[in-house]
Amino acid sequence: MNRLPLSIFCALLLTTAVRVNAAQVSSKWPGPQGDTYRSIAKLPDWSGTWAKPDHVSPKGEGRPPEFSPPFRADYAPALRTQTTKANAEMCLPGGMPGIMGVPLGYEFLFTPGRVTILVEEGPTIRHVFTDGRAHSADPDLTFAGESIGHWEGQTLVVDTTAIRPKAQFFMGTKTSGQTHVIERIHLLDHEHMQVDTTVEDPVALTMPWHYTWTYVRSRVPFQESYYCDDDRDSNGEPNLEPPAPTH
Amino acid sequence: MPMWAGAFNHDILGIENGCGHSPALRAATTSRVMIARALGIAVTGLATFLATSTPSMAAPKRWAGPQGTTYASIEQLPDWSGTWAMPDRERSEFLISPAAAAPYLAGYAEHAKAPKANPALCLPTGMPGIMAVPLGFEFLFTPGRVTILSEEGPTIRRVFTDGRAHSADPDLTYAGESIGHWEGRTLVIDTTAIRAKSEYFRGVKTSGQAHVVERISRVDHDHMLVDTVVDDPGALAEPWHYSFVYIRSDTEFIESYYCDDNRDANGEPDLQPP
Amino acid sequence: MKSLKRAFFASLLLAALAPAYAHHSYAMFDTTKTLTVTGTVRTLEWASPHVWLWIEVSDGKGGSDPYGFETVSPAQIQRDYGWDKSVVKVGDKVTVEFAPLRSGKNGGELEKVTLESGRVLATRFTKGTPAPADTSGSNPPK
Repeated sequence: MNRLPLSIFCALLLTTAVRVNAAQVSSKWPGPQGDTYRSIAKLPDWSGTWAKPDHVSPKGEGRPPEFSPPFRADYAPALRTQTTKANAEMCLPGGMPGIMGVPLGYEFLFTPGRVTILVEEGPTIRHVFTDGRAHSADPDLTFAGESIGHWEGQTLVVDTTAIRPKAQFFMGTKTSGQTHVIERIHLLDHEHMQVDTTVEDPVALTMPWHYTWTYVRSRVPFQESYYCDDDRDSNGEPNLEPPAPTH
Repeated sequence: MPMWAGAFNHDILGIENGCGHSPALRAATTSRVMIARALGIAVTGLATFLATSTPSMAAPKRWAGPQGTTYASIEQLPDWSGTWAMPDRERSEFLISPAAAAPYLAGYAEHAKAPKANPALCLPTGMPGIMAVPLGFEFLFTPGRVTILSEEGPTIRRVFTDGRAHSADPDLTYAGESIGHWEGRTLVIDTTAIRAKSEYFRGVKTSGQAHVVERISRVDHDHMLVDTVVDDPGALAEPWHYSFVYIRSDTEFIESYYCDDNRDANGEPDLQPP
Repeated sequence: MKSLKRAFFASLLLAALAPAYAHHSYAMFDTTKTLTVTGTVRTLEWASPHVWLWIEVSDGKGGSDPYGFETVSPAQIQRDYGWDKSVVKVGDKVTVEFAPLRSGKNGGELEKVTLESGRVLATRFTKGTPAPADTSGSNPPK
């Protein structure tokens, strides 16, 4: 049948293409990059749910960001006390970089050429492309930003740009649209994950901002949560109609 | 090969992982034809499907064939990478028109009168309606799990394929609680624990008792078939079966939040130009 | 076969209205005060983004009034404070410490629950537990 040689030809072409892509990725960075399931099997095990504890101070040194004068007036108060202008109050996600600091759950899914980070707040879906691509020329700005990453041994290095100005450094602030976030993520041990972050923003910050979080492996699975689903809290006055008593 | 697959042109199944299409397939493959074919398959296979898809609350079952519980096993599963979407123009034909659903909904008239759809309240549609929203989907395979991402919500469905049974006292959620297994190249998903606020479509809510069984397969390089049966003693007069097809999309998964930059507030759009 | 170039079908979606309820700040609670009431559990609303504990407090005239106390999400209360859905049962006698609503209505932000057994259920706002790095968002490290 004349279809058979075509199939063989296609199979050969596909195999070659895959080999070439793998070579491109691996020649850029040594060590497994997770471009195939076989390669992913060599990466560290980040399965399960990770959580930033609700009340734990982050490991290591962290100093507040040095805001530029235009941003300082608006956001310096937010450094000391909770503000009322958080994205969460408008049923919006925190966005990068602040989303990685929420005291909630995180998941890291490894598929060929990608790490997908899921965050319980939003919920937020971060696509981290580990297939060797560069940042795109004209991306749409989003809360999650555009992330490319690679593995340096056991550490995932993530580079994120294209973050929309509505995204927060942390609750109650906004970014400038020119924020650039670099994260280095690795396990400290089976129960602890460290996230080292550097944030640069030529408009909002006078110098790069560096901080470290530690996540803890959690037995409580990722929960579904939508801020707009809050039937009780309306703009400052909760609905105090008690529910029917359960039996 | 499942019984319903006989209706397909053999070319499709033979080269589903291939890089091209046979001339016969190229000629035949408009999406309308694909969908008509899919419906034919669905009807043909319905009896088999219903007979084999009994709800399972029993102990974990062992299934033959790769189940994706390890990366090595996942390598043997079909490739569902990429972004998939139901074409907008097809949606109204198939699924989710109130007229089509009317025979199935007990008390439909009441539902149809009032309520706003969840998206109008900045909430996700939820199961089962979410799967028929004309936006993008992704399917991520990791050991023991298939994670389905929908651009609407966004929504994250976790389908546990590690052999577990449904849990005893789950929290009800928009996505529900999903367990799944592979029958050859078909993913069979059983979903319960869907909260009552979740929708069939356009404001029509489920009852909190909805039970959804889906059979999903990739029928060729660019098409996924989603075959669904819903039973819901609180909302449906009888089990409701429907099928639709997703088409591979060129566009990457798009971030979207309903409450975002919204010009339409309280029925009166904000017409201040940017 | 050309794959589908997918436009974003925003127009298809019903017009989204401004949400009637939004995730709030804690400004509605007077966190400088702690009040205490004792009552029996009416129900535990196990919902995101906030779990609410409802109790019936005797009005001293043979009847009772419902009080509602908000706390963190199910995710946080399980992970960080050791609660689960079954931690209280209807009818359990409990003592609740809370930051009252500024409006004076019956309820507030939950600080601590003490069960009849003596077990103490802590929350993010329990006095004496380490202060959270942030309250509901993503504040920077101190």
